[in-house]
Amino acid sequence: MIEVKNLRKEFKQNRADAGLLRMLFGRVPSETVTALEDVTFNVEEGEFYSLLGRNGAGKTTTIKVICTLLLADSGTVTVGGHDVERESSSVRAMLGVSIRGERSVYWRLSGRQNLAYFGRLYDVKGAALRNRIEEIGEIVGLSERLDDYVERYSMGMKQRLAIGCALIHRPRVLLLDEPTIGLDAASARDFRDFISHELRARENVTILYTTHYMHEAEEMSDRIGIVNHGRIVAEGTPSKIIGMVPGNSVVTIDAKNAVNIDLSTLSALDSIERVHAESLDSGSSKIRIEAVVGTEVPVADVVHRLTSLGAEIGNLSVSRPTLEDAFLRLTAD
Amino acid sequence: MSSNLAIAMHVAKKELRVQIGYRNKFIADVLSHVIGIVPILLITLALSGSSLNDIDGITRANALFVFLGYAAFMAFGFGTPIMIYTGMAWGISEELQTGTIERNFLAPVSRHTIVAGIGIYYACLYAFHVTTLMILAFFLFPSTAEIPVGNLAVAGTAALGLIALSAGLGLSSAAMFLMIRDGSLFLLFVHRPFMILSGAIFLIELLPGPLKLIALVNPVAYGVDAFRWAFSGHGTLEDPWLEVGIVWAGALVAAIVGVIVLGRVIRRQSRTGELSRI
Ligand SMILES: Nc1ncnc2c1ncn2[C@@H]1O[C@H](COP(=O)(O)OP(=O)(O)OP(=O)(O)O)[C@@H](O)[C@H]1O
Ligand SMILES: [Mg+2]
Repeated sequence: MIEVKNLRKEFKQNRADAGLLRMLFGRVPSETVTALEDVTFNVEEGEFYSLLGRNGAGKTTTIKVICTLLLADSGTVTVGGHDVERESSSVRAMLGVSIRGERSVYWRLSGRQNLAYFGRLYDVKGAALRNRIEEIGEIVGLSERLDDYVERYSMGMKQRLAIGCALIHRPRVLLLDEPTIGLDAASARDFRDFISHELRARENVTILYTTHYMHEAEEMSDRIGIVNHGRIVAEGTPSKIIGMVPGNSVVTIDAKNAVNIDLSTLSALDSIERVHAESLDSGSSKIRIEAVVGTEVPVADVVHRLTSLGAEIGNLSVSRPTLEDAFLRLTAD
Repeated sequence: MSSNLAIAMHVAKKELRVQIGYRNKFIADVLSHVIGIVPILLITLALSGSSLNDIDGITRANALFVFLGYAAFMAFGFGTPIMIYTGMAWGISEELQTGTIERNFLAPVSRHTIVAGIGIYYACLYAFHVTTLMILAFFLFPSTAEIPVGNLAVAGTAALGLIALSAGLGLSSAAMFLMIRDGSLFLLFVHRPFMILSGAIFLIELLPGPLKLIALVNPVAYGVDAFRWAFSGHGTLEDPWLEVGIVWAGALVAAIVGVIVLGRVIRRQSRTGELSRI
């Protein structure tokens, strides 16, 4: 649905540290910043694709090129087969976009007037528009506040209104740049539920998403692209990304009567890499069992062996490498 | 898809709503042209040597001359604080600051249409200025009450032509605003010269030679002259209908140039990233 091929974008930025006289009369020294080095990825129809990357990695720049606000230096982008430069109007008609949410709505208008204004720009009008506005009010949880001036909304409400404006024309493709920024935990969860249950399950909307919240990306994405310095450095399902970094699943057990147990009986189990135990002051032991990379500790077997050797199991906790671990490794300089 | 005109009207209505939101500024925009004419009339009275309770015929003729010129120039847009930027550029400057212009540019409509829609709001404002001034003239100068229909047609088409000219230049001024993020240069280099070289408040004949030549290629001068002829019977330049034609020709040229210039600037800024800084 979205095809991005060899996208490259440089920005010329004037330096702010030149002397005043030089800035006035001389040539202002500028430097070229390469925002996108070479970005290539595809988002399939109905897919949820997240771009993750550090600040300044190039996520927003990529989205701006796709939504036709920014022209790339080279490379091609098509949305639903339409080229973003040559058929920009058709592309814009298919897209629902939210970038810099709360700044993109009119604060001097009410929520309803904003929705009506943007709806009409997308050719939604009359009764259909009025009904859609009510629906959107429900979806983004602003029904009660639709007739208030946006000025009086909280930041999260403005953000929600911006998302509402992006949805008003039932776009087939959504580009959402950090849409849950500023949303409280409950609203963010509602929004994610709405995306999964309504937009994806019912309407098969294609979504390109950026976020700095790893749990969101992990929960919702079919695939994730990790952007670093203007390149996609890793791509795949969340579990594939997590599997890309060395780091293994670890089980920690607090056990009594375990001081004299021969740990090699545990090491002998399949997919166990290392076992380590230490005695605690209380007389019990803390046993740490690491799995071979890419596998899981066979918890049931471990517990069975320990109890059959006379140990009494107290606390047991399992920790796995997270998307955050992978993200930090993949975007490290 | 709705027609461009329908979309532009929709944008204009939004602009009206937003402007009403800035209530005090809106009131100033709507009323200040009436206040603006007071000092000009007083200067005219003073220079003509009559006192207020004994206005002679010459003074009355001068005052009517200035009043009509001012009213006609209102059609070009000069009546309000917004004219620092000329209408469209003002609208754009606000939207650049708030960040909403980007959001508008995401919609599947021509970007010119969005800018022109903002311009329609201001064009309506200018038309309102002219109309209210002419109602005022009806009371101040009772002689303007009995005007033949043909003359009214000249006045109407001249005023509309000036509004169209202002809209065309508005596209260029919007482009200029995008480039330098400041509209005061436009005021300095375009708007004031257009005013002074239009014969709105004094006869072009009184200008020094070279300036007179420049004034004669200023289409606004012909619009002002035709408008004034319609109500006072005195014109100084060409046949009134020819003058109306000149204004509309100027408006057409300004619109074409404006569309091209604005298109280029928007495209250039889509490349440099200036268009989407927010
Ligand atoms: N309009 C612009 N003019 C100049 N440089 C820009 C412009 N927009 C972005 N950049 C530069 O391009 C690079 C990428 O920026 P971008 O906004 O795409 O990052 P991002 O991945 O969205 O970061 P964040 O997580 O902070 O939102 C940065 O180095 C930034 O300074
Ligand atoms: Mg960003």
